Parts: sequence; structure tokens; C-alpha cells
Amino acid sequence: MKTDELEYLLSSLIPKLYSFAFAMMQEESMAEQIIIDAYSVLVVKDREFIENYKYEDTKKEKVSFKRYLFINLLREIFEMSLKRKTHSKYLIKRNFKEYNSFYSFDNQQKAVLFLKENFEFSIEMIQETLQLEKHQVVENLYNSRQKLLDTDVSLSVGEL
Amino acid sequence: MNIDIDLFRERKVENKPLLTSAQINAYLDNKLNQEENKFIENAIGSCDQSLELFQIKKAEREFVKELIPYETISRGQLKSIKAEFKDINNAILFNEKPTLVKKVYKFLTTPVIEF
Repeated sequence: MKTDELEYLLSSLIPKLYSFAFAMMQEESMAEQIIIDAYSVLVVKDREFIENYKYEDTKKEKVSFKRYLFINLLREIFEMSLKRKTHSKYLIKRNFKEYNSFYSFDNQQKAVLFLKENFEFSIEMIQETLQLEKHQVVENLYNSRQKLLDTDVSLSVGEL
Repeated sequence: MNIDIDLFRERKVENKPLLTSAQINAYLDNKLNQEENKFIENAIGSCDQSLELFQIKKAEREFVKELIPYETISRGQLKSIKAEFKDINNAILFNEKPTLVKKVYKFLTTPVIEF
């Protein structure tokens, strides 16, 4: 695989990776840094695979390799976000009133909900990305959706 | 997901919605096969209570989606990440010379021999 082909594929993934990283970290510079670190880890881990990948200029090949990059980078970002949870507590985060309920969830709930609702991932794809069991994905999805609905309803009642 | 026809008939006799919340959720989550999807769509079309339940569940989904952030990246950040990726590619990928990163990685992944 050539460097320019790889960079082209990566460029198209950055906006989505950023939105996911931001949802995990809730802070711009942390989101940016975690994407860079995730990519470093991935290329160190899978260097030979990436270098030797027989990339042909067909749609199927492009989709397949892009999927590999996307899923693996999301996984690295998720795993790093769990490790940096303590560190991120001390950062000054922007206040998003409308997303307070979402940001009160733990990272596993946030990741499952985000991938399902924003990227329209199937349960199986979420399992593969976050390395979770099916029941964990379903539980997280159901509980977090329910919490969002309950919190918002209770806020509306309180405001009245 | 297996659709129980007997249960379906029972619910029809008792004047309950033909579909349950779980069935509608499975449909909205694209968990059903083609045949099951058709079954659900027919039930929604023929039962007002199921249609109402379907509309509630769909509205809930849309409402939940609005409560999940989707932050967009700025041009500056995009440029900066692209540049970092390029540096990483030059330092690690397609480079035969051993770099510090590779040396550290090799050191970390080499098993320690215990005597």
C-alpha cells in the first residue's frame, strides 16, 4: 500500500473519528490528541499488515480497508478514553446543557449509544468495535436510551 | 427473533395492540429478517394500536438522537491531525530504518526470560 493512498483514506475518516473522540472526552484538545495516539498505536501494532496490504484500486478493496481502519481506530480511541478517564476529570470542559445527560454516562454507555445512533452501527458491529458481549451492548443501549428519555421528561416536569 | 403467531391471535381477540414494544424495537433496530419485517409492517398497517405504539417508539428514537452530541471538527484541527498522521507514517510505516518508536515497541513486546 502506498502512503498517499493511506493518507487519503485516513483523511476521509478524521471528521467521524473526531466526533466520536469528542463524545468520549468532551474536550477539543483531548479529542485531537487521542486520535493521534490511537493512530500511532494502530500502526505500531499492525505495521506489517498495513504495509503489505495488497491494495487494489477497486471499490470492494477500498471499502474493506477503510472499514478495517475505521473500526480499529474507534476501538483504540475507546480503550484510550477508558484509561484517560481520571486525567480528563481535571480538564475544563465546555458546558453543554442539552447534552448533560449524555455526558453523565460512563464511557461504555456513551460509546454504544453514539455508535448506534450517530453512525447507525448494527449490534454486531458495536460488539466488534468495542469488544463487548452482545448482552452488554443491548443492555447499555436500552439503559442509556431509557435514561435519556427519563431525565429529559423529569427536567421538563421540573421546569413546569 | 421468533414471532409467535398464537400469541398474536390471542392479542387480537383480547383487543390489545398486535405488536409488543420489543417487536417494534427489534424492527427499528433492523434486527429482523425480510419475512419478519413484512409481518411487522402488515401488523402496523392493520392495527391502530400497533401503529400508535410504532409512532411513539419512532418519536422516542428521534428524540434520543437529538440528545446525543455530534461535534464537528474545525479546519485547523483537521489540518493538524492530517499533519500528525503524515509524520507517524513517515516515522513508522514504509521506513526500513529502526526508529525510536519501533525500538521501544520491540523492547516492550519482547518477553523477559526468567531463570
